[in-house]
Amino acid sequence: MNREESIQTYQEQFAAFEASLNGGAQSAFHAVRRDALQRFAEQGFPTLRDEDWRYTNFNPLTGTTFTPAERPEADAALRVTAEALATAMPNAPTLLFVDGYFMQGLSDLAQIPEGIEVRDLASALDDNALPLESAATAAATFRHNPFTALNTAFTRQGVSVTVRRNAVIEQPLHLLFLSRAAAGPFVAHPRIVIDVQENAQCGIVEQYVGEAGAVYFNNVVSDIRLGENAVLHHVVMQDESTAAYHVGANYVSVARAGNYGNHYIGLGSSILRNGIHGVLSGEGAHCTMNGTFVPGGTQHMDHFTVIDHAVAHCTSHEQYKGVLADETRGVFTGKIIVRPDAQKTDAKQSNNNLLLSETAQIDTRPQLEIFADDVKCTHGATVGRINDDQLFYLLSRGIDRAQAGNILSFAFASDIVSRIPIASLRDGINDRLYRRLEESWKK
Amino acid sequence: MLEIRNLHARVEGKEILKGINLTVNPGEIHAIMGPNGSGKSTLAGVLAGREIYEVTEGEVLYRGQNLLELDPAARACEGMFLAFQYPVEIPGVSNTYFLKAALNAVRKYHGEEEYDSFDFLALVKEKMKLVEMDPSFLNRPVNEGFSGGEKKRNEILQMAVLNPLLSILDETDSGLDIDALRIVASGVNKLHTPDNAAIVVTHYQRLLDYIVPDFVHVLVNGRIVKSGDKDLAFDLEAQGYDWVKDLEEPTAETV
Repeated sequence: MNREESIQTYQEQFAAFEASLNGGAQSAFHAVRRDALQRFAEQGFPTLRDEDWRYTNFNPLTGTTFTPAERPEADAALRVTAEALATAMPNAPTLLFVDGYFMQGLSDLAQIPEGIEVRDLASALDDNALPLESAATAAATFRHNPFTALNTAFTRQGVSVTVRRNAVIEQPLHLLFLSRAAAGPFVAHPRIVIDVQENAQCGIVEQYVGEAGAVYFNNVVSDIRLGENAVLHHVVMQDESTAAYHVGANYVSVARAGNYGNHYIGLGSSILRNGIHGVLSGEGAHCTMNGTFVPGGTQHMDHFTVIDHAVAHCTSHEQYKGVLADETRGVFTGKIIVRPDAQKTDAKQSNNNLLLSETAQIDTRPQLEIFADDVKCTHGATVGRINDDQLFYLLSRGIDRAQAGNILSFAFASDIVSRIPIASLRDGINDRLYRRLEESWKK
Repeated sequence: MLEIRNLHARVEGKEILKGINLTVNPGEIHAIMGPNGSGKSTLAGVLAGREIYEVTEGEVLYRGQNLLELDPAARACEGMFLAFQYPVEIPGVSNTYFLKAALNAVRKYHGEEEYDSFDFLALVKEKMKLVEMDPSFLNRPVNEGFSGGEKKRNEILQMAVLNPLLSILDETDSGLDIDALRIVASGVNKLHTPDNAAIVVTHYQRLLDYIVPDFVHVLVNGRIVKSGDKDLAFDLEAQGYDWVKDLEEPTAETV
């Protein structure tokens, strides 16, 4: 299938989707969908000639025809399947999505804490119940990202989470996405809309799991808004099937004195592209973007982050750590924009990578665009191998090479996990990370 | 226990060891002394299995097997222990985790049951008393931010936990003040039994006031040029290494 044919396939899917909407096609949001489809049809998937996409070849995406899965029956066994594949997130009420569909009946809706409102996105869109500004945000974002345009054209499945003003929620909310082999090759366009209102605080964990060998294309978009003095700890555990394609796009805006933290753990998928676009739009806002990615085999993981310091006195900390084995490829792009009025900006960025084989490859590029003169911006990137002295020290104590290598690479990567502010999540994530790295060292 | 015969080794093409002969029996403590660059640390490194050293001639028998065929981890599991001259810092790995992984690796090698966290902690706390270490060191990353003395005490703690048959202490005294030296030496002495042996590599006689060797060997230019009892160390201290530097061939039978 070539480029034009793949665009045509999605246009045909859109026609069927539109027909299935019935009354939903009259909603205010549907006009946005049509615009988005038009935009996608003009652009198609990005190519290596697009500067922001030049390290990731999406040809495999057009080589397979992905069609939307059927909505699964609400069978309790699905929850069991999902939890068997997933890392346990203790004390976190779970919202379950299967093959792209929100399974309300299999979700812990009754256990959602006071102060959080969870809505099925499909009905919210049909009822025009989403604030109009969400539609405006959606329209603004898809202009720059064909995947977001495609998601927007098909936006229906997903969830809207509102954390009410002054609500401080101890329990994190767990969004668990299960993708099954029998449903593939399917495409899903989940959309997550998160609104943390003034003075509110909460944690949200997105977790993606797939059955072994499942082939699918998960094209996720998150729209995240933090009100004044709001805090969101956003953890993403990406543990998709290694035959899957995962594209994520997160659009975040942080108001005055708000604090947004994104903690990304990248383990799965054949090709990953995760974008985070954070705008610090009120003074005193802070943003943390931390991530670790540990590809093995022939996995390809591309992280593209933008932190836009739009006003003065904002801070951002970013650290990404990659451990790359076998014939994998990693990409890290860290763009930091400091607008002319954003004096006293304090931005720190680092990207550290550990290559475990001769054939693993990393492209790392800091991109600083600074238009203010009284700012502090630091960035650094390192690419290295396992330290021989450290390795020998462990060997000399009787620890074999595979375990020693694993101990050292785990220590390197789990540094990111140790910074997740929700302590109850760390042990489970560390266990999974350790086992994933063990696979790389057993070969 | 250990028999080194005509050992030659080089690093980066340069020959450092030029025919070492040494026999160590259970219950013995051997001191190897020598000036800088004489090959002391190379000998320790070759015995522990560092890859940068290339053995070009000779053989090393350890408890009846060819030591040079064992990888470093297997040597450790077979009861060899090297106390490093410069202990390595490992950020992100706690001392407890490291010690437990090491002890369990050795136990697993011998088909013994692995320690659980509870039993391990009891064991390690007992051993820490030997080197007067505070239990707070257990939660800190391996050697990171440790002072010189703390690092060396941490080496002896590892030795105590792993309970080796043959310990090689590579300049464990260097850089230590007298209090730390006393603690380290006392730890080594308490761990010494008629069944195990130690090779103490040092530049200075001072350590031997605290760890009394059965034999002293003087290593110069890649060869053992003189062997004797502990009095040899005093002679060296009094007369300096120049006294032995000119000796071409061993003047005493190597033991």
